[in-house]
Amino acid sequence: MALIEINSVTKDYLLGQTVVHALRGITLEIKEGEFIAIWGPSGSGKTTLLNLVGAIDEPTSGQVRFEGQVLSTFTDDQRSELRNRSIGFIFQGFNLVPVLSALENVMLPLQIRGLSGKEAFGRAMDRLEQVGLSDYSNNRPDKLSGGQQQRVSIARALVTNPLLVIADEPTANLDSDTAMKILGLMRLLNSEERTTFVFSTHDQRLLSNVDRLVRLEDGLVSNEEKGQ
Amino acid sequence: MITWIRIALRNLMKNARRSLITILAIALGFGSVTLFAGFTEYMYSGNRDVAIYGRGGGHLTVFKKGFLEKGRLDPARYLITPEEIQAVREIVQGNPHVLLVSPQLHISGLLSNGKISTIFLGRGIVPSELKLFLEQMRTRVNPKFMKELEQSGSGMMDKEYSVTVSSGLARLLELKLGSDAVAMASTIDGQMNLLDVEVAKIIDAGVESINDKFMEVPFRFAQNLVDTDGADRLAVLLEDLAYTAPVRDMLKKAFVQRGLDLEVKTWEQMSGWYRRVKGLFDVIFAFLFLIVFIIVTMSVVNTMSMAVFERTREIGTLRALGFKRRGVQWLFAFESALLGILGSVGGFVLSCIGIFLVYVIEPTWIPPGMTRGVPIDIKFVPEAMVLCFFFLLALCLIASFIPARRAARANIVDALGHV
Repeated sequence: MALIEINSVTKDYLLGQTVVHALRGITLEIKEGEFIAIWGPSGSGKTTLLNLVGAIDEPTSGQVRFEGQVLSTFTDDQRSELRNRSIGFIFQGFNLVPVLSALENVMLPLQIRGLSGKEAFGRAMDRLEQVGLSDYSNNRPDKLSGGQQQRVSIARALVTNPLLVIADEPTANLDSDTAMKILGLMRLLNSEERTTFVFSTHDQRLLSNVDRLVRLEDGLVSNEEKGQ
Repeated sequence: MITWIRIALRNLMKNARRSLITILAIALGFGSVTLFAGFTEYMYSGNRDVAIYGRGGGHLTVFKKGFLEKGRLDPARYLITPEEIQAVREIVQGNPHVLLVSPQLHISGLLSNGKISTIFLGRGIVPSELKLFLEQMRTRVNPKFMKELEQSGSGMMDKEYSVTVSSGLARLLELKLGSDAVAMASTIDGQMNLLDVEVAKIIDAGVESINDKFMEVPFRFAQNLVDTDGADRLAVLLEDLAYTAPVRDMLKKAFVQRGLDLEVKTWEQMSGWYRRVKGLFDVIFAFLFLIVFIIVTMSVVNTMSMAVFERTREIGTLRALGFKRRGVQWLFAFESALLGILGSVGGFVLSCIGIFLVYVIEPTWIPPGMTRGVPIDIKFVPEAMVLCFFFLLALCLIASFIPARRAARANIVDALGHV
């Protein structure tokens, strides 16, 4: 069974008086342990698709299944629990909580889950060490570079040992060198821990090291191919 | 829990100026409400003490049924007889909360120095019992103020014709300590009666309207002047205010059981002045409270709305990480509660400073109808402080509810895209 099954999913937005068809009927399967890039031009529906897969949005029609369960049947609290337990997010703008240190940011998903401070501390420190930032654990986000912030974000996404990590343009705000390093880190974690990664990008330079490429155009899958 | 409090606290610190203004608004609200509560408590207790001890009315006053309505028209019929006085004393005998049952007789007539006569309103009270009332009063009132009221004289009406006169009355009749005068009044049978008096003490009656008429006379003297062996009232002095209602109920029951034609009134029922003062200050307090309520609510709503607006993206992130809606509401509730707690602590400090300054400066004011300045005091009222704290805390939580609810219900995708 695929980790994610997307069946004929459409998503419409109302923009003023105009209906925008962001997704026009997408069918896709994502298997456990895959490292997939969703790519395509701006406005092709990449972020919308990731939002649906990440259970932070609902489709207009069609179904998204996570481990066989239809997400649209979940209550808001159940979706929150699912996200906390099984999904990690890496955002383009890092989205770290500015008043918390790097360590506290990484501890956050565990504390949302209700883990004790001690346990959360240990696991968060391990993840920070894994992304090479244990020396910066007490720094607040404004004292970290963009690359460091994104590494904290990766540590935060992985600290709950999720089945799936969703990264929406994780390298868009980074220089090429840092972007390649971040992608390399994600790839390493994917191969070491078999965590499924789905990320969006429109930067073709990042597409060389993925398992599968899904190209979106005008809200439809225009091309699907295996990575190099 | 600590994490959420930490986030709340750090967010408040992050927007230090805005938080400080809100905390100050709450602190000023807390300070003004509790200081005013302390002042009203002083006003209430001051007026209560005057009613109970200063005017010798006691906590409870026993009358012949109908005296208050028709006593002036037919005094003989509505006087309490010596047998009834004895019966009341027997009823309260053994009750540890009753300190005294004091028979009193209020009289009126003319006081003359031989050349000029003027009206007097007198209270006949047993001198040793008056002493007990005054002792109780001294423990409750600013000693300096008490000394100013008791202007001159040793105080005790140790002879049957020794009287205390108010300073206005003494001035009108040019009476000094030791001066003689003649008191003239009609007896209960309607005959004129005259008795000599000697001024033993001059006091300031405190109230302008009676300071040129008031006289305190020995109970026996009052009885002789109006030719009766009865009293028009019995003042019942209790150990503590808290026993007022229980002892009143006990007396009422006993009067019925013994078939006594008596009724009992509490000090509050007897003191129209107290009720009016309390009514006035309750209205002012409510008005002040309303202003504080509006200021605090507006400040907190503004602060929390700004916080929600500025942190929409953060809320989206937290929700994406698995934070539930009620968690977001709690997060903002913590922030709001912290504002309330810090503001209340600040307000408590302000309140203490205010109380201390009043204690040190000892300001005075002349209330309407009074003859002299009364010291202003502000009582430390822990109950008011605790109530105010919980009220402000609840107000902060309620004020944060709408912005927090809006934050919690925000669409995650929209929140993440918020710039």
